[in-house]
Amino acid sequence: MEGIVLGQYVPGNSFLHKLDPRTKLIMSAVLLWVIFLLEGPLEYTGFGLFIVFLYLLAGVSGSFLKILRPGLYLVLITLIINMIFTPGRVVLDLGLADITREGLIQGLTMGFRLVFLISMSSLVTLTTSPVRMTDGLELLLKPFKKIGVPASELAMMMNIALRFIPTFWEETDKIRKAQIARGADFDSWNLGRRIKYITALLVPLFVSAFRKADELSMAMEARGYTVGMERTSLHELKMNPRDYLVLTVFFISVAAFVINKYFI
Amino acid sequence: MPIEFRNISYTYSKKTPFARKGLTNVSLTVNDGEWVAVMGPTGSGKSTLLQHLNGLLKPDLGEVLLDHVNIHSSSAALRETRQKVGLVFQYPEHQLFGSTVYEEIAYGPENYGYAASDVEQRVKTAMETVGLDYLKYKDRHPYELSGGEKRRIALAGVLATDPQIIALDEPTAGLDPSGRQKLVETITQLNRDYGKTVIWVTHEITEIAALVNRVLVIKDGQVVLDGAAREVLNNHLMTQLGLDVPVAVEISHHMRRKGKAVEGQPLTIEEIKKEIVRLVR
Amino acid sequence: MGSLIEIQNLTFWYGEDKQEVPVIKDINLSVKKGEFIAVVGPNGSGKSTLIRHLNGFLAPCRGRVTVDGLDTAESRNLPVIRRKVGMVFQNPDTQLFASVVEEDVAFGVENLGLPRAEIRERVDSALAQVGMLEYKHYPPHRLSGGQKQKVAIAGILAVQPECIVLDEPTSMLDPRGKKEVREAVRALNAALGITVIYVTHDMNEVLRCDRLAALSGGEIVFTGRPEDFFADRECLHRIGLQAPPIKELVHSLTEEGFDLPRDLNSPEELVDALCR
Repeated sequence: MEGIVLGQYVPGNSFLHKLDPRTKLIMSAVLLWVIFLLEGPLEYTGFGLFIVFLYLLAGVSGSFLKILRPGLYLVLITLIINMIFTPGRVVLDLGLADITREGLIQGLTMGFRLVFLISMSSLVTLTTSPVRMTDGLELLLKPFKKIGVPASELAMMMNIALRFIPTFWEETDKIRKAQIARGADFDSWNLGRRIKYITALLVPLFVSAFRKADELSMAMEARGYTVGMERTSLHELKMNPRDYLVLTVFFISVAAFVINKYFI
Repeated sequence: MPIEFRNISYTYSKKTPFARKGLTNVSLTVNDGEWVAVMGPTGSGKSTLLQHLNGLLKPDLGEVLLDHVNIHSSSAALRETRQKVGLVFQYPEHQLFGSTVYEEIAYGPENYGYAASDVEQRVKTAMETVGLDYLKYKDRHPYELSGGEKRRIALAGVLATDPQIIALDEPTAGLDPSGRQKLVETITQLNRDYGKTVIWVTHEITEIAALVNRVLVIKDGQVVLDGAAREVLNNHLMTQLGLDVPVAVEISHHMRRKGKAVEGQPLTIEEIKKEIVRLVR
Repeated sequence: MGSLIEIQNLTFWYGEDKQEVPVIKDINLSVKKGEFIAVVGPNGSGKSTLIRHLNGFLAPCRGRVTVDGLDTAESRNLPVIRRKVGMVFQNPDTQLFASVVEEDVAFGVENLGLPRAEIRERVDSALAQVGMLEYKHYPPHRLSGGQKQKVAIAGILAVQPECIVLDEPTSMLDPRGKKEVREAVRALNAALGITVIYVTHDMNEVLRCDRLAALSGGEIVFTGRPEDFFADRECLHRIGLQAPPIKELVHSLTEEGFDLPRDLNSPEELVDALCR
């Protein structure tokens, strides 16, 4: 349960940290789309270097590999499946399965896309505090309030969820250890036993989650919160000239890339 | 059945930016039938130490020996250790899951594969030890009982495997005075009458100061004081670390500062009263 | 000084059925403005049920509770009542829900719909009052238990309440944390004149309160000065509480014939009195 880095915020003072969360959310959304337009080794290499550059800029390059580690298995599986199951010119005969040229390309393409997706979206959470993130999200969703999207409540829920993830992991770890101390063996091969062990983990975990939710809602209510109320906020998110500049440069570059690719 | 720590070191979240030292080069031996109190500031490594006792954590360096056998030498040794060393976590009632008190307490013995009749006998004995009437409580739902009762059920759940060493992490935290007293009485009985070794992690020493043989103080993952309760609790380092000491100790410090030659190392109200009567009257 | 909270013949039981055993029964208590009152009793004596009536979490089954003349049973009074009566709970981990200290302190004020500049000012001054201003950009999980509780208190202070109710605020803390919180609470009572209602079963915590109400089996069995409460050993024993060790010692020294004042509350005070 240790060292969970995915989705974690690393406080800092870099250029990326200072950008408005809306700027980052918008840019990452667009870039996630751009990933699927990439073709050929040149463009992939270029985009890869761009991501490395962003990590260096944000000063979170240390987290890069750790974020990728859980994703790496996924990438590896994607690569292998694609390599083996895509028909085409055989480059390596393994007897049972053949590795084809098309499969290799397909596998690498999918693998790199996954790596890009994970590292791009993590970059946003790495450089944005959960509070600012939810504020940004709330403001982005605001136009949809008219059609009944509960933007503030969604943002509040997300904020609380992010705050309580570490607490939840700690609790899981503690209960797991307590049951191991009473002879539970979570690695048991016996299905019946295993179900019993998992029950002994999940029941207290749910009870604890409900108790925490109850205490939390009481604390919020005691401080005058009611669902759907109008609230003001300590921090105002303000788009700085920096944000407008970055967004302008960003959109011009993306537009240039797309036009160059499809129209010229 | 002595338990021995040989040069134990442990680091949390190794090789990440969140790495933090748990224990550094800790060596100690707890002998049969001892009652040891473990104290130290929050985050000093008390819980880490506890989790090494039954192999929940594996030391990076050094070894833990139970009855002279390295507990991590084989999976059988580890399993044996977990039966012999019962660990009661903080707020153990938060780990209850059974739909009856019986099911809850039987969990441990069942996991270790005891026969049904044996399990029942163990549950009975454990409930008797913690002062819960077997017939009255066995079919009740743990969640409908009071906080003090839940805590005792959790304790019974650990005692049911008949461990020789019982380690408890702040067992009285959050209980009211009578709940505390009952728990201290239960553990005293286990230690005195059944010869169980007790390792009791606490912030509040007053309730057990006169009962324990030995106090161990941990700071920043290292043992800084280890000795008879009387000596350790009277050491000035205790107050410097902001740790709880009995009122008698505080008073003797103050009296000495006022030039009164308090004799010995008073620990209880009775003892300090005698000294006050002798010195002030 | 006038009274802030009036509790008259308060009886409460869970569920609709009148046959249910009441959790609290015929409680009468009046809390004066600026008072520091402790509510003590063993687990299950009805302490938490009682204080949950003070901000309208629970409505009386019989009797009446008013805050500054406002009836807590009327739901339209609740926003004002909750602004006047702030509550701090036992578990420091489930009452801080923002990921940065100052955001958390701001939460209650944000609910008031105040302008941003005013929020800023109130957050900073509340944090300063509990001595936590330098931690305002910290994530709560990097604070100690005592610090978390002080942040929770600051969150209440920022709303500028008349009264703070604390429900066993130190029971999950270590000795250092307990001391920090106790001192912070005492300071805001003394310096800001905020009414404090302090619920606990740790008798070391209530030595210096103005008045003490003891609950047992859902009824108030004592109200008065803490010295008088600790002197009534028969009553203490009956409801399952113990006088703190320092009081035990003073008591037995008095029995030995020492002439000691009754308001000795710490080893230091006792030694000073003995060596005078």
